[in-house]
Amino acid sequence: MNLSLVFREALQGVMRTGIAGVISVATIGASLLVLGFFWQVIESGNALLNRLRARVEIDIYLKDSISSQRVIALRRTLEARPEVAEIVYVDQEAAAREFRSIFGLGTVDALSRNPLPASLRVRISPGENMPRRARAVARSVTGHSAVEGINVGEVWADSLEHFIEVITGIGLALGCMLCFACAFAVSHATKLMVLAQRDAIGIMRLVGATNTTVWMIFGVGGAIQGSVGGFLGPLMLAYISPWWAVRVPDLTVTPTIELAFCLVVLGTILGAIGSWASLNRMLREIAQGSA
Amino acid sequence: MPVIKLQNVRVEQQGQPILVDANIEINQGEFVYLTGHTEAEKRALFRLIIFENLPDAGMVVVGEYDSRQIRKTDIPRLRRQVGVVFRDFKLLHHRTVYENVAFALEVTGVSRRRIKRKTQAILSDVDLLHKRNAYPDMLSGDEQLRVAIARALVNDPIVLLADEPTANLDPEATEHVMAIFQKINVRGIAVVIATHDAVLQDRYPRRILQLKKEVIEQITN
Repeated sequence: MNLSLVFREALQGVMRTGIAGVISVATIGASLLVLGFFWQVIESGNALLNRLRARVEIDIYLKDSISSQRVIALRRTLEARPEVAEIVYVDQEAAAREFRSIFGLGTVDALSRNPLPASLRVRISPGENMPRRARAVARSVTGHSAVEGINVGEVWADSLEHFIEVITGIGLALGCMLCFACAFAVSHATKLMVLAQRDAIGIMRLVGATNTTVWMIFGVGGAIQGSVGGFLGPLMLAYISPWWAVRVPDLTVTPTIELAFCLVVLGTILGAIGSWASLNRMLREIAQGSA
Repeated sequence: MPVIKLQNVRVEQQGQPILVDANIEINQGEFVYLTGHTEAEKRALFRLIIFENLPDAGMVVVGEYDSRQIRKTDIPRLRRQVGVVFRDFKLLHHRTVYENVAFALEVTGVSRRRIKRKTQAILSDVDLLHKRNAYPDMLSGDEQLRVAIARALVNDPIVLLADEPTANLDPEATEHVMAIFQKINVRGIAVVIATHDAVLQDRYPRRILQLKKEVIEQITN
């Protein structure tokens, strides 16, 4: 097969579609922009959620005048649990400092003695079901002779978990819908190119071009359109990302090199598939109507 | 030696017979008129000859290819042996005269040097070498027809099918085109012209195949 002919015809085919070709490429670019945008939002969202997840903590308040051996024993009990990522001992003085930094000077200092208890601050390892695992850790030391009280902070942890589930669900649903929409748009867009080349396809068949040659020319043509659209997608995303960053700084949509590469590859593949799908239909119509 | 042979061919379209028990034999280097046909009959016959359709019964042989045995992958090779000239020429309007003719060679994998040599030779045969860089819209009707003839011939076919080639030509242009057909025919290429032009048949008498109510009759020799 003459590859230079395939690429030349494919390129000329794309150029000859004129406005229709521009619309095709723009449609592919817009579809991939939307896909890339949501992909980045989900990626940034997941990164944000992972950062928040790393902050799920339990405060285990210790009884006054507890011996250090019993604190060590409690600490060992906690360290034995797989859910525990880190344990920090916060003594009374450190607790008072934290209190002052949050509520200001005076309240603690006005009292004759520091009323704040020492505590073990337990950080839960990141992963699924953090609130449930945090509660399990809390239950395991409830009633321990060294423990005065426990604060799990369940409310926000539960909300966080729910938020993660909702975002993941929306992301998956949107991703699937957009993939279908993108394939549909590309298939229709490349149909314009095939339509514009209808006469040439008829002549190719009539003069004895093999089906492989015809398929290659239009497959490559669709792939060219798809790849240009694939470049446009991340390019437009990079253009709108500063505007977006000002409004939603925690969910950046700036395309990464990997995302740009994926969108170009996706556009190329979708372009070729869309073109072949349209060509298949067109070849049937030409076969019914030729001579 | 027949280049086209139809034996007991039956073609139906949506249950209606288009050709019934059709028998034709066109030999190498013959010049034949096909007449009396309806559009559907002519289309059915042309489609059989380029193996776009296979017969519902009987057999079609074109060159070395037999409709009962041909493989799908052989059909492009068969089509290179059959040149077709359409009534509306079907030229590609965004390509020059040279590109229109060369296109038929390019898509069949011919080398660039051979394309140049053959395209120039065939354009010279149809007296259009001087217009090789013109676009079809810049040409007269008979010039467009000659481009279509050149494209149909450039692959060295064994048979040329032409659909009403002189329908819209003045007598002078008709004479020019018929001279080209005769020149081609002398080289051993079978020429089949579908036409209803009785004047043409009288002026250039040749064997006539007449389609009458789905049946093909030979009325002259």
